[in-house]
Amino acid sequence: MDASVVIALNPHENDFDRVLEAYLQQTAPPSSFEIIVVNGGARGDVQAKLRRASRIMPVRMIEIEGHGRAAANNAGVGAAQSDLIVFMADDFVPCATLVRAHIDFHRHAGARAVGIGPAFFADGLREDPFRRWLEDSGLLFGIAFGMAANDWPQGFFYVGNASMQRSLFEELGRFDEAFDYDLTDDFEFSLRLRRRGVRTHFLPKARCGHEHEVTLGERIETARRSGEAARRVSARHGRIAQWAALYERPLDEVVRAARRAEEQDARGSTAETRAAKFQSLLNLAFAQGFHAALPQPTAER
Amino acid sequence: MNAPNQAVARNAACPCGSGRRFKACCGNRAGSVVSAPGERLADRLQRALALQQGGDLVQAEAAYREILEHGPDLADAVHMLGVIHLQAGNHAEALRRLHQAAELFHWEFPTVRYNLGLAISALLSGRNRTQVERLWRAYDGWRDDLRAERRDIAPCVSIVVAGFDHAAAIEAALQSAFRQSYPRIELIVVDDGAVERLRPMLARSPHRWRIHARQKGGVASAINDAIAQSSGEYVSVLVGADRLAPTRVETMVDAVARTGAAWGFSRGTLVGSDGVELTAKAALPTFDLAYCADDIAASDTVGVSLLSRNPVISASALFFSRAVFDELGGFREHPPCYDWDFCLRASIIAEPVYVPSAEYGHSLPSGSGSPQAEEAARLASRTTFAVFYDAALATHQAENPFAPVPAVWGERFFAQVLARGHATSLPASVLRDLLVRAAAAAGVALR
Repeated sequence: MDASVVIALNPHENDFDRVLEAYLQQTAPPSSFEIIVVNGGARGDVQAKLRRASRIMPVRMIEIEGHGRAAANNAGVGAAQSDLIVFMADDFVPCATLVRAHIDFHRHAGARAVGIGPAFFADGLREDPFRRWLEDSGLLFGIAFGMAANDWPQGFFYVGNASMQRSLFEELGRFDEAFDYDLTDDFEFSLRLRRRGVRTHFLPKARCGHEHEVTLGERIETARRSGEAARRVSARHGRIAQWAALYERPLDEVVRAARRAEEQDARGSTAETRAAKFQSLLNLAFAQGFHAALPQPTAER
Repeated sequence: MNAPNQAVARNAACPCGSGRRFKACCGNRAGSVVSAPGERLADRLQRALALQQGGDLVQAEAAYREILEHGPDLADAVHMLGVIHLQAGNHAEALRRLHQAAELFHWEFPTVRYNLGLAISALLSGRNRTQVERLWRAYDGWRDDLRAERRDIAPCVSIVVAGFDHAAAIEAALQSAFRQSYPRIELIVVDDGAVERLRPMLARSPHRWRIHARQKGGVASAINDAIAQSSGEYVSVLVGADRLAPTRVETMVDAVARTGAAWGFSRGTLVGSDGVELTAKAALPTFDLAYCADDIAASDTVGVSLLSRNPVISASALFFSRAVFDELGGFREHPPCYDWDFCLRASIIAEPVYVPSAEYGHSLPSGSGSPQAEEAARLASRTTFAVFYDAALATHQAENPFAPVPAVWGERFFAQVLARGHATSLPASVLRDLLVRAAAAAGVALR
């Protein structure tokens, strides 16, 4: 077996049948990979689908007590039979060459290389101005995949579509299960990855469709939780420049900036005023989450 | 993304990659600021640039907009506003602004062209996904088929030894050729005047050998002449003071000849004059050999990876059938990167195979890694790619079904080319054409 695909279930509402069907269409031979779906109680709608799918493809589900994506992914690696682990999000529908792209890359690349595939909203989902902005600005995953071929940050990592050897995953210390949401666990992992000099590569052929009707309201809640988690990450890894610009500003200033952007957009909405509004509302939610979280003990660095 | 005027010494090479000094290229564009109506405007522009460089895009955008209220055609402000939109992911607006800037600069400012290329690339990169995914699937199928073919053949391989400049280098190179584990080899050694002294050594060769008297010309034509004297079905080149790994020919026969592929290349390492492997970072600080080699495997296809940069650090990486060589008419002295030029042209004929193991050691010429050498290499790369670009556009029917040309990959070809910063080497007319395509794709009305 060449790869174990680990899918941690999150509280998403996408049709998981479509995800499984896409794994059936892979150019990688079915015998070359397995799929391990890990459920920490996030979803109750997939068990029957997985039972049906397991008759025709090498898929199995494991249930865990713990909560959060980090715990689920760690458990998935524990159950994996292959040395090559491919972490995939449960709302990512892989294109036919995805598994093969990860396998081929690791056959050719060094043992400490990490492969990262992109995810794009389907054209229909991109009709929504907020989703389009969220994707193109790079704020959805921390990178604008449309620009990845030009400017790939070699330390970028997200757990939605990523592959590495099990030995490297263990060397880096697995995902930190203290992160109990489906966010920031991968960013924190990327800090350890960079510190060890591990670099990531962009795999265009490992492309996914992102089937998630992300809304502004949902994203504001995500930003608030990210702010909470950021306090924990900062306590452990020190000042993170990209976040510090948000939480070091006085909160009332961030509030005023958000209100100004909303008013400006209300007066005459353009692509620019919308973008400014979206950005400032997410900034505000992040800052509020950060300031609301309890201070964390500072770990040794 | 490139922003001009970022604390670059006036006599340093321009960061836009034009090959000129900063003061004679982008640095000279400060003139457009000076010619703005009044000194205050120039100060404002500097402040806006400082905000942008500090990462405060919202304030920087507001500052540029304010400047443009006073001087709507101030090219630097229009350009940098376009860059801000590019950074913020607003590609359609970036395209509009950068197009305006390109017109204001009469399409002569390399940095504007580079950034405009990125905006076009971003808008084209997600296009024709169905066609691209079909090609990816077909490519996986082609690779599967490669595994099954011609397992039992043992073709004669000609190792062509050329381009060495002193006897010590040729001795080490020849020794590496003698030690090959593959049995059916002939050696063709190009005589540059040192060979007579090497006859006793050649006499100990386990392979049959021949000396080819060197004609006038460079390394490319020396290799061509030597291959003309060879009789092998496949050719492995060995140039300069490079050395082949003992398994080199056997590995390439397995990966190329025995799979039915027509040509390929392998990974290499950098070695010192003593043959000991160098760390790439120490030898070539600005070129990450290992990362670039890994990136070949990350590309759409091995052929498409050739569009980024020259993936072979030396012609010693190459292994090809005589048929491919003959069809191409051999290596060319011009453009300057003769090995990359060969790969790019060969990729139109046949899809290459990449061998990830290090099958040769490349001995860097003296002076490698110096700023002058790197600048010369950049210029050589640009010239080489520009020559290929014309050939790619003119290829309407490629023999290789995965050839890295527009006729095969459509808009993805252009997106890849522009994403890798080649916009500065394309003619303005081509960039204009791509701009129109991208604008149509994004629904942007161009003035």
